[in-house]
Amino acid sequence: MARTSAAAAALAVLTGPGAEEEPAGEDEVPSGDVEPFGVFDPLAQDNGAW
Amino acid sequence: VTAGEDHFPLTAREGWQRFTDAAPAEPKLLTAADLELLSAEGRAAYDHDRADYHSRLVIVATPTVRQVYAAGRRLVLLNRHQVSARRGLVITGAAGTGKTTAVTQLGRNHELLLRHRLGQEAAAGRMPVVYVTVPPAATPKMLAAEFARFAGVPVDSRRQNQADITNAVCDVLARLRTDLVLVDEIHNLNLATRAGADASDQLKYLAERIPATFVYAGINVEGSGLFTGTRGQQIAGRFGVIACDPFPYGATVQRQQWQALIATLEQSLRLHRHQAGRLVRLDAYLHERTDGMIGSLSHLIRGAAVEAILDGTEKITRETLDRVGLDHAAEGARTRRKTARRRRDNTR
Repeated sequence: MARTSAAAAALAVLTGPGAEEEPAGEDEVPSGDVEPFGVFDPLAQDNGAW
Repeated sequence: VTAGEDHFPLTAREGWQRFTDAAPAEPKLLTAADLELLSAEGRAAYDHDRADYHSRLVIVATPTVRQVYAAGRRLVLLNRHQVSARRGLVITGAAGTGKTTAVTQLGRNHELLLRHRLGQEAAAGRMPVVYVTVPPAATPKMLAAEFARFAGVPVDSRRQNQADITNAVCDVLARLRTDLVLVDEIHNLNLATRAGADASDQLKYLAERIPATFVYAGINVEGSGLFTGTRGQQIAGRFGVIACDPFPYGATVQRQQWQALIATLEQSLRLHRHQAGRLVRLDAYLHERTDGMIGSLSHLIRGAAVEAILDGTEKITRETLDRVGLDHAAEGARTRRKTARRRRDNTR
């Protein structure tokens, strides 16, 4: 649940000024359910690998 | 592969340095009110910065990138005190599956962490990472010259023979304490020719002489002959293999992985009217267009983002994506799938 909320919050940040709202269609996956891989951090000691 | 606007190749020290140092700023989206205040020149500069940002976007921490990174870092640590029989890594897969991205990010991360650990001054006298590509129809001398070029070792091809160049390269890299060597485009070794077989042997010899962890990347390396012969058998016994595959799109978990990739790229967009989640909802279409290739997907989304800035729509829709052409492999695969579907439909 926490992961989903984090992803939804992260995706919400995307919504730039003036972004349009558009409901998901019947067969579409609500974007809030997707946990993004995230961006590779070149300075991270482990990058989540260990 | 180049680094920076001046197009320094990654396969020379200066290009690699620029690639490692590059920390492109993420443009901040202005509010509608702030946009109104921009002059025409200001708006052009603002859009140019965003187009530039979208031209490279971000490196996604895919499972493969993380796996290459983890295995590579682990091997560098394990090989540190190994005087012989060092272990290495082979990254293999089709074109466009992210092999070069994975190995170059491993190298960049390794170099940055070393600088962080030792401090800029102490790290300045080192060359922790070497990145070379195998040239087409490579000979042993050409291969040694590639290493020399990266390391900045002057080569006089007429006066120096292969052994001279190899010795000079090995001496310099040992002095500069290189501990990670990335060899890309390894499929260019043509084992069917005498020169190609000798070049393959030369590479194996360099791996024995240079006290570093070797990582090879190329298209379907298993069939390249790297693992054949006496030295090849040694490599087979010491090198792990990581396969870079296209993202499949069948089972639910596979679709979720594909969506996770799209979501990461979508999160990094800096467009004014793009609705979050719009691209994730086009996941089936995006897979159809790209055949699950991360390279093609990245090109498609980056191209559409630049298009959206240039045409002022500031959002990526299916129509925007339709306008961006892709590589021959992706477009060809799409055409073949469409034809197969039509045939299936006609026979029903």
